[in-house]
Amino acid sequence: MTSLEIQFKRINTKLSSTWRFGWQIIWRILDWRLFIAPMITYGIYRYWLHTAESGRYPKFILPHPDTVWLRFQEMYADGSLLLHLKVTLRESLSGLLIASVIALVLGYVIARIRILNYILIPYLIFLQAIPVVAIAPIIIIWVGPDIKSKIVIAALITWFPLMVSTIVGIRNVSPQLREMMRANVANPLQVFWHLELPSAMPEILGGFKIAVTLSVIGAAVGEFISSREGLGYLIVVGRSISDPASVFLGVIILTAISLTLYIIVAVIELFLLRWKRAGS
Amino acid sequence: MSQFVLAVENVSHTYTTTDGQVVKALHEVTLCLSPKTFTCLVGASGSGKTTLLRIMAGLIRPKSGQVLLNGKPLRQPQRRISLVFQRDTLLPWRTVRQNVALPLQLAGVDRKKRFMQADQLLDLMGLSEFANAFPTELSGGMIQRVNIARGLITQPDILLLDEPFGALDALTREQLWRELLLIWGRTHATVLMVTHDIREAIFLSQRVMVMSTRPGHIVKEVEVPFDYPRHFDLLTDPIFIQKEAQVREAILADRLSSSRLG
Repeated sequence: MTSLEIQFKRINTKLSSTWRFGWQIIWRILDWRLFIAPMITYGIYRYWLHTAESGRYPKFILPHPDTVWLRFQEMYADGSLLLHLKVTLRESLSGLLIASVIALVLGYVIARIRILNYILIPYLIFLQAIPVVAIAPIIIIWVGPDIKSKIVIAALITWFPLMVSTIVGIRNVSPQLREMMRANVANPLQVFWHLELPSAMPEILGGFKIAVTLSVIGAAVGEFISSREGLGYLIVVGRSISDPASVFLGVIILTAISLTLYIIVAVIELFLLRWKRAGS
Repeated sequence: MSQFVLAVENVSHTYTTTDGQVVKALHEVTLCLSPKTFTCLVGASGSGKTTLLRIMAGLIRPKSGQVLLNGKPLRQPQRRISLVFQRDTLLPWRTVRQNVALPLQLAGVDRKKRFMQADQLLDLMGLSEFANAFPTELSGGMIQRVNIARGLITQPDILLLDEPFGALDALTREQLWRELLLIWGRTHATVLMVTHDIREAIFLSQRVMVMSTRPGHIVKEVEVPFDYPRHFDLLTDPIFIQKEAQVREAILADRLSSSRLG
């Protein structure tokens, strides 16, 4: 090793300390490539503006961006937007929480106990094959028209990708590492906590990236069918009274929630999987 | 330090491959590790050395025969017996320090104490600079050092090494021989090391056991008369060369007889 290499290793070692959180992550966030997507979004916005101002489409089909912006300010000022946002967020996050508990437990058990693979998987796929949109009205009748039914719908739509990713993650745990843990007299809880969970983390986080966006869809679907509040309700009402600005606003806010939740998972991933980037 | 004796009595083992073939891995193996000795087990690859080591670590139960730890049958892995694996078995999400401290953590030693012990050991192995590095940032030689450090941290009475230097280049390997002997001199654990390098076996150990191939069976025992500490000029010593020839002869003789049979 040359002295330069040693120097480099030293710096690298310092960076890879357990709490390598600060600078590296800020650098990741400030990556110039992250500005590509906003630029494209701006392009789409310009196109929208251009089309709306051309007068080719009536206002009830394509609203002007300013109308949507005005509606946003209005609803922000009277607090109704925040109320809708809070309701939808609560529904999707509660759904996600319930789904993740069920999916992680089921996924782990199925991955570890072979026979359950044969017993449970057919029914679980059967359950997943039912289009949630189709049975959503029935769920609302069963559970009631309030927030609970939307939580159930959001959970139903998110649990499957989470469970599948958990199964894949736990199955991929290296048998050599399992044997190493056994040689070091680890009990089952220690094996789970120190080997299985961190080993399956890349797959589980991948599942969460899908699940967070799905949970927002689930909540909105529930609100479309029957609700008095929430962003889905905002869209439904906007559609029924021919107010496309509300529809657009609702859709944009829903997308923003999905994007934010996705970014939160991505940042958690950046921190939890920092060992994957080390040495490369 | 207590006097732990690990004895293998008439151990035979077979396993079934994925395509349904029954392979006789070990046949009537008997050996005894007396306290504070360094023994090497040599043999061609596929002679069941690794299987024997896993049986001695309590990871698998032999089909017949038994392993005795101080006269008591060994049924499962013990903290007194430490196994260093042939392949890299470090946890990639843990830093070097956390990896070395793992066995202590599993034994319930608190964080401060186990990290202190890990740091001492890393210092001894010249790895203290890399305590916070992840395994992916290390070279092959360093990974094996960390592997060995993890095996030593519980201060085991018996240390089983499975071809720890197999994947390393000759220079790194010889450097690690010295380091291993140095550390062994301080701890005086009972060591059994599996290797396919005859020179390595003679340089390191007091006794070399030669294993035949399929089924694995101990065909010859060679005593190595040199004292510790050992130096590299030993490698050209006439007695060393003579011992080397003896071991090689035993391996070749076994290969000849097995090819005649096959």
